[in-house]
Amino acid sequence: MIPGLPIHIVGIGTTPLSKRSEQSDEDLVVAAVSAALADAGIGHERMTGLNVQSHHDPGPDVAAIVRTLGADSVSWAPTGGIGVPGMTRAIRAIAADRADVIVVCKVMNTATALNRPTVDENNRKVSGRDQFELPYGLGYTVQRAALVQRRWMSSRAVTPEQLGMLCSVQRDHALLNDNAIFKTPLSLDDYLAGRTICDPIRLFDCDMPINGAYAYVLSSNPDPAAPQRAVRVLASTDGDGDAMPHIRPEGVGVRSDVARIYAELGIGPDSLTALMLYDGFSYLVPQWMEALGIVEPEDVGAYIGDAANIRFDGATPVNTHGGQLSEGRMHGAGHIVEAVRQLRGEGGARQIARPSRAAVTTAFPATGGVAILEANR
Amino acid sequence: MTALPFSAHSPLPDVDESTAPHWDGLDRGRLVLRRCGVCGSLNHPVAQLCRVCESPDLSWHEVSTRVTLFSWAIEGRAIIPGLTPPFVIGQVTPEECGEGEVRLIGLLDVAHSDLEIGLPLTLRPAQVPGFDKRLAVYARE
Repeated sequence: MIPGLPIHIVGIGTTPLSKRSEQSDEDLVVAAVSAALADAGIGHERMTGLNVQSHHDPGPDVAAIVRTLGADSVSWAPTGGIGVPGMTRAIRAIAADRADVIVVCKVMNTATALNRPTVDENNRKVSGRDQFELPYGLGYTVQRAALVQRRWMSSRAVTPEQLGMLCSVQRDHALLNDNAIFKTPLSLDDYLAGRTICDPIRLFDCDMPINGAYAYVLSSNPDPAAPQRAVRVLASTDGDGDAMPHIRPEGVGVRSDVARIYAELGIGPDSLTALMLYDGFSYLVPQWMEALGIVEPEDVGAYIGDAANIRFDGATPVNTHGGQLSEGRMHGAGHIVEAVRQLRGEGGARQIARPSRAAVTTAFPATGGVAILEANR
Repeated sequence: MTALPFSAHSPLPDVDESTAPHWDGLDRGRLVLRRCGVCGSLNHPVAQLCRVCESPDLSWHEVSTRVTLFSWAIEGRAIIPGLTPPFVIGQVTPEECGEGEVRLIGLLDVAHSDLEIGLPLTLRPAQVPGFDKRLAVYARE
């Protein structure tokens, strides 16, 4: 466990999301960071750390962002990272006295960008470990996810209708979230009629590329003016960013992380009242539910197939903002921001009934990160 | 039988001394993987450390050409230049190790209606235009 916990999330800030890129990276980051600091009631001059995360190269000009913000005290400014592992890195910086108020900001501003596999155009050659995959037609994340999803569905007898119900419920949540990119319902029939991307993955199993920026403020102290709006980070793990999920043993690293977190905090899955689970692909959500011990693998299909279990007003509310499937792909930042909102009791029309403790996860369960957040009220 | 997607423009492995034993093996119709000298576990050709005991003592080892189907994905889009869709990307486990412990990628030459988890398959290396070795294709016995 990281020394110095709990750390507090004392502010959140978001820009609107758009399908087309409408502003510069720098303008989006400045807007989200300013909103998060304003939400925290903290002046720009008190920000001592800034972590800008992007998904394109070259990334935003962080020096220009710091100048525009007038944040002269910034002394910790790494770039990159994602979701929970990124939050863990910032928490470690606070614990090591590198900074005391850190803003983490995710910016997505290349909605149509793809990570194309690399082929030498002169001789068709593929080097490195891709040489064992690309000649066989395997070059994209969605294809690797398709392999994992097939195996997972088959081993648990999960039906497309059950995954479709999860997608439909998340869309219903998005309709209660003004910032969500999708504005119309997704019926089970709509889901099943979605075109095949890479069999077994359908269109609505994939998250929605968008542009925008989401930020949150980490501090070693809750804002004394409004401590009830702070959210405590009780645990946050590093994940394993390098590994490829389709060749990793299922859930090995994450299962030991989860067991350790529960043991050290003296809690169990029954105490989690909100689940913000990474959904770059729909099947990741039930995989995370298994990894967290919310449901046994043999029951997971039936569980997500019943909306009463996963709705915002259900037994274990899941992705109440709509998730990346229906709010938009903020690479884990959307899940953190929504957990804060719910634990403050600021969920509005989608507020959960018992806003006490949330699990937030990022990336593939074989390699990703887990955080436990708790209300400070 | 189904049509294989290879063409004179499809991607090829950049065979070097660190991977040649695997590709030379396929060219002889053999499956050549990494085996750990300490614990004996089989490993994927890219392994640098044993997946079980983390020993770096890995050497090339020929296994049988029999595998079982761990998973598959059917790609219907023309997203890999030179490969003609639809094609079936297979993930297979060698007979010598437990299910899924080593997962190899290859193309499947199996009717879609016959695909099922655990299906026994055999290596049938295939020629590709412009390549002096062969690639792994798996088919029913």
